Amino acid sequence: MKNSNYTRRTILKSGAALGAMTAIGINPRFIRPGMAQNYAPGMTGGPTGFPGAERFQYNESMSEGRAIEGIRQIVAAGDAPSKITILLTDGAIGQLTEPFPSGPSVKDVWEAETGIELEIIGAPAGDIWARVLQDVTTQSGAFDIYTHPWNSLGDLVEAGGAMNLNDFVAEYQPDWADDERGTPTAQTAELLYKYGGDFYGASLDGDFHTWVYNKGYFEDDAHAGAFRERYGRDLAPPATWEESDQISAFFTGRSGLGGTTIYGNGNDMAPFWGLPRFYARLAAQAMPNMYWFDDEGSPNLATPEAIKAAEEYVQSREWAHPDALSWTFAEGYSGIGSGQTPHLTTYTNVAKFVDRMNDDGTPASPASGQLSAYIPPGVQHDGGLVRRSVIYYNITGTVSSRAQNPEVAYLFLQWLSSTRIYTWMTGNPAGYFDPFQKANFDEEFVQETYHDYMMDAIRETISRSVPTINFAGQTALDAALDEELQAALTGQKTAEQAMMDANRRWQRVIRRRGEDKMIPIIQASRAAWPTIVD
Amino acid sequence: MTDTALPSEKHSGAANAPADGLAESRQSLAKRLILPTQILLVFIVAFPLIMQIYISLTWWTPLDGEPWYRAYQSWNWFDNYVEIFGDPGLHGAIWRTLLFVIIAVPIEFGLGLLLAALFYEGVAARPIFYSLILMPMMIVPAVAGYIFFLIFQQTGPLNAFLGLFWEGAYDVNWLNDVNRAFFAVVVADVWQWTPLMFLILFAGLMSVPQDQMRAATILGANWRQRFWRIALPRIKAVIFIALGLRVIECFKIFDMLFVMTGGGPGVATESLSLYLYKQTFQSLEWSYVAAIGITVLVVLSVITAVILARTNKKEDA
Amino acid sequence: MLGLLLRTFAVAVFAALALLPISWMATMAFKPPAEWTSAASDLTFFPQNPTLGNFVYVFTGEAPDQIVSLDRTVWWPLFASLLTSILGTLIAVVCGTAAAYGVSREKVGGSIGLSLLQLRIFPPLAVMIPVMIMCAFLGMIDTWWGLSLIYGIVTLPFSFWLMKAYFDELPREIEEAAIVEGCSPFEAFYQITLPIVSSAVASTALFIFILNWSDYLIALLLTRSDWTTIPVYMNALASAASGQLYGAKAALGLIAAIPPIILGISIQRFLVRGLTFGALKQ
Repeated sequence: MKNSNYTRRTILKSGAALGAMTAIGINPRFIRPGMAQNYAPGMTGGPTGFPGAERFQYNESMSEGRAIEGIRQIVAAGDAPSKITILLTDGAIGQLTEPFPSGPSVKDVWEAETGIELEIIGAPAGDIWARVLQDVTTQSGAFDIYTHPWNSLGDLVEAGGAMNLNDFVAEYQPDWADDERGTPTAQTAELLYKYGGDFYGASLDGDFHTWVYNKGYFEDDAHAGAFRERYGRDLAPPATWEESDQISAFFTGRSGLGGTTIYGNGNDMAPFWGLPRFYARLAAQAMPNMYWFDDEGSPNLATPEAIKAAEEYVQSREWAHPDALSWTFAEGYSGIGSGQTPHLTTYTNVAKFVDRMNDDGTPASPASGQLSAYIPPGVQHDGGLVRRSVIYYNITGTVSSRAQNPEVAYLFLQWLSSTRIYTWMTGNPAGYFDPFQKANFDEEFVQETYHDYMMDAIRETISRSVPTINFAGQTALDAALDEELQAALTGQKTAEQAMMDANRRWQRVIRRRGEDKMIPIIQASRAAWPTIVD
Repeated sequence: MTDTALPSEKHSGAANAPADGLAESRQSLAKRLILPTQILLVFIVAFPLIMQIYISLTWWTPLDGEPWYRAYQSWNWFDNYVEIFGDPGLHGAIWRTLLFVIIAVPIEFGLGLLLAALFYEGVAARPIFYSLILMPMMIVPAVAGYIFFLIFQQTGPLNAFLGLFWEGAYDVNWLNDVNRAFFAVVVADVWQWTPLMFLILFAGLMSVPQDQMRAATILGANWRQRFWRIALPRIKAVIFIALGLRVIECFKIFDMLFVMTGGGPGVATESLSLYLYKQTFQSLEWSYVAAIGITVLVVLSVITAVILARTNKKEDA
Repeated sequence: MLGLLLRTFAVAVFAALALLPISWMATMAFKPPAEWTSAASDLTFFPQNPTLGNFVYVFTGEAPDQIVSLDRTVWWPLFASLLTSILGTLIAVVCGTAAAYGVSREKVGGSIGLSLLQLRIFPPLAVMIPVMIMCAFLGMIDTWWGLSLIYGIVTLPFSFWLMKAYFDELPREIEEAAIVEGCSPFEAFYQITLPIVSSAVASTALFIFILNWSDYLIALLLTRSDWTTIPVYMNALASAASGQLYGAKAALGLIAAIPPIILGISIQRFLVRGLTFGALKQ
C-alpha cells in the first residue's frame, strides 16, 4: 500500500478520539464481551469469529479505521444521531444483514463499533430511482443515504439531491483508488466516484457487463462438431459480435440439458434491463470507440454505425427466448441456469446466484458447474479489434443533501465501500454487490463465491468497459432510446427509423435541458472511455 | 322528493315565524354537513390546480435543482402546450387509449347484455352462477394484471392448453407481439369488467315492471320482441351509466397494464396514464406533464358539460 | 326445458371462463418453484407436489425451497392495507353521507355533486406531481393518515352519490314529524334518518372498502416503505437468485382477493347501486 492516505494528522486525531472514548465511555450495549482480543495483532476493528476474519480487519491507518475513528469523535462530541437510514435495493440487503460466512453481519459490526443503528429500507432494483427522486423532489429527507444506479448520479446531483463529498474525502482519505487494493485503474475511480470532477458517490457494485457461457455446451462433441461443419471454425468464445451472433444462431433450436430447447441468445431484452446490450454493440462500432455523442455534443444515433448496431441488435432477438422482451436480468439468470441459453452478457453475480450448490449438496440449477466466462466480443477494424462492454446500473451510494448528519452518513459509506469491508461483503452470496476492486479479486471468499473463471474475465471486461450515460438528463435519454429500440424489436419501426427518432428525441432532451449546460458535460464524459484495442 | 314534502316547503317561508326559524336552522345544518366534503375538495383541487397551471408555463424539471416555486426562472409561456401538438408519443398514447376504449367497452357491453338476457330468461342454479360470474370484478386490478401476465407467457398455460389441439400454439407469442399484446390486454380487461356490465344490466332488466312484460306476452310478443321493444328501452338510463362508467375507467386504465405489460412491447399497450407515468418518473419533464394535465382537464370539462347539458335538455323536454 | 338447459350451459361456460384465470393463480400459490413456469417441467393445472411453502415464505420470510430470505414479510403490508382502507372508507362514508344529506334535503353546496363527479373522471396521473409535492410538504408521504386521507377523498364521490340517492328516496315527513315532536334538525338527522339508512351506509362502506383495497397507483406514488400496501408489495416480489417469485406472488394475490370476493358477493345487490351512483332504483 502506498500510504498517501496515511498521515500523521489522522493518527494524532484518532489518538485523541480514543482518549475521549475512554473518558466518556461508549454505550455498553454495543460492546460484545471479549470482542477486542479477537482482532489480529495491530487491528482495532472489523469482523471476528470465523477463519480468515483477519483479512477484513483494520486499524486507524486504514480507510475503514479512519471512518470508525471519525464516527467516534462525532459520538464523543455528542453530535451523532442514534441511527442512519439507507435506501437500498431489495436484493442487496442480505449482504448487510446476513452473517458471512459465520459470526456477525456487516450491520452487526457497524452497530457494535459505532453505536449507531443502521436502518435499511428496501426498494425494488427497477424502481429505486423513482423512490430517490420522490424523496429529493418532495424534500422529505427520509433517507441519509441513497443507493441508486450509477447512471442516475448526474440527475441526482443536478436535482440537488446529493451532497458534495470533496471535503470529507480530503479529510478521511478513503482507499477507493488505492494502487494495490482499489479500483483497477485510476480512470475507473474517476468514473465511479466522481461527477463533474467532484466526489459524489461511493461505488457499491461492479456492473461491468460480463459474458458468461455454458462451457458444457461449447465443449459438447455434438454441438462442436456441427458448428465446425457449418462455420468452418471451432465453437469457442467469440472475438466479434458477428461470431457471437453466429453462435446464437447456431444454438437456437438445438437440444440441451434434459432435452430442453436452446435459445441461442440468452440476453434479457426487457425495457431498461436490455438497453446495455445495445450500448455495448454500439460502442465497438468505431476506433477506438463509437461515442454516444459527436465532438460537438450532438447525438450519434442517426449514424450508419448506430443503425448497424441497432439492426444487429434487433436481429439478435430472433435467437432469443420468445419471452425475452419481458425478461429482466433475473430471467436471464434463470435462462442460463436452466440450460435454455448457451451464453449471455449480464451482471457478474449471475455466477454466484446460478453456478452454486444448495446446502444439501445438490446443484442449484441444472447448469451449475458448467459455466465459464469470456471477455466481451467486439468489431474488427483496420487498426485492430475493438472489444467493448459497458458499465450500466451499478449500485452507488450517495449522501442525501438532507441527511441528518452528512458526515456520519459519509463515514458509513466510506466504511462500507472501503476495500476490506467491501471485500468481505462482496464475498457474501446473499446480495447484489459485485466485486470490482483489486482486493476483491484476490480474496478467496470472493473467488469461491464468484468462481475462478470470473476473476480474469471481470478484470478484462472492466478495462474494456465504456460508461453508459450518467450525466443529467440520463433518465430521459435512456428512456427515449429504450422505447425506440423496443419499437424496433417488436417490428413497429425499422431499426433505422427507430435510430432516427431516438436521435430526434435526444436532441429534444438536450434542448430542453439547455445546450449550454449539457454539451460541456457530454464532452467531459469522454475522458472516462477506455481506448484499449486488441 | 315526494309529493307531500313539496307543499310543506312552499308554505314554510310565508306563513309563520317559527317555521321560518326552523327552515333557517335546517339550512345551517345542511351547510355544516357539507362543510367537510367542501374542505376536502378544496384541499385536493385548489393548490394542485394553481401549481399545475404555474409550472405548465415553465420548463421546470426537478433536475434544475430548484424547488418548484422558483420555476419562473425557466418561464416559457405556452411552449409546453405547443409541444403537445407535436408529440407523436403523446398522440400515440391517446390514440391507443381511445382504441382500447372503443374495442373493449362494446365487447364488455355485448357480453354483459348477453349474460343479463340469459339470466333474465332464467337459468338453473342462478344464485351460484351469479356469484361465480361476478368474481373477476372483485379481483384487485393489479393482481388481475399479474394473472394475465402469467397466462399470456409464450411458455404459459394458455399456449399449453391451445397446444392440446394445435401444435403451432407454442410458437404464438402474446405479450411481445404488438397486435397480440394489445389483444391480450383487451382480453384481460374484458374478463375483469364484463361482470360489471352484466351486474348493472341485469339489475336494470329486473327493474322493468313485470306487468308490462306479461301484457306483452299476452299480446303475442315473443321473447325477442319483449327484450328489444320493451325491456331495453326502459333501461336506457342504466345502459348509459354502465357505458359511461366503463368509458371513464377504461380511459384512466393504469394498474393492470402497468403490471401486465408495462406499456410494452415498445409502446404498443401504453395508455395515456402510463405515458404520463413515464414522463413523470423517467423523462422527468414535469412541466410538460403539467401542461398535458391542464389540457386533459379542459377537454374533459368541456365534454362533461356538453353531455350534462344534453341530458338536462332531454329531461326538461 | 331445452331452452333452460341451453341457457344454463351457456352461463356455465361463462362461469368457467371467469374462474379459470383465478384458479390458475390459486393453484400456483401451492406450487413449489420448479412448477411455476415451464422452464423446469411441464405445466400442470394442479400442483404435482403441493406445498404451503409460498405462504410460509411470505409470512415468515424463510422457506426451505427459497435461497434468499425475504427482507420484509407480508404482515406489515397486510396491516397497512387494512388500516388505510378502513380509515379511508371511514372518511369517505362520514363526509359523503353528511354532504349527501345536506344536498338532498336543502340543495346547498351548488355544484358540489358535479365537482365530485369530475374528481372521479379525471386521470390521477395527470395531476399527481402537485399532489405529491403538496403531500410531501404536509408530511403525508408514507404515513398511514396521509394515504387514508387520499383514499377517503378519491372514494368520496361514490359515497356521496350513493347516499344522496338514498336520501332522495326517503320521505321528508319522517324528519318533520320528529321536529314537531321537539327534535332539533340535527337530532332528526342523527337519531331518526340515519338509523333508517344504516344498512345502506353499511353497504356503501363495504363497497368503498373494496375500492380502497384494490388501489395500486396511489399507494405506489404516496408510500415508500413503511406503508406500502399489498398490491405494491406484491409487484416488488422478485429476487436475483430466483427471478420473479411467481408462487409467492400468487399466494399474495390470493390473500388480496379474499376480502373483496367475500364482501363483494355479500353485498352484490348493493354493488349495482354503488356502481351506478344510485341512478338505478330498486
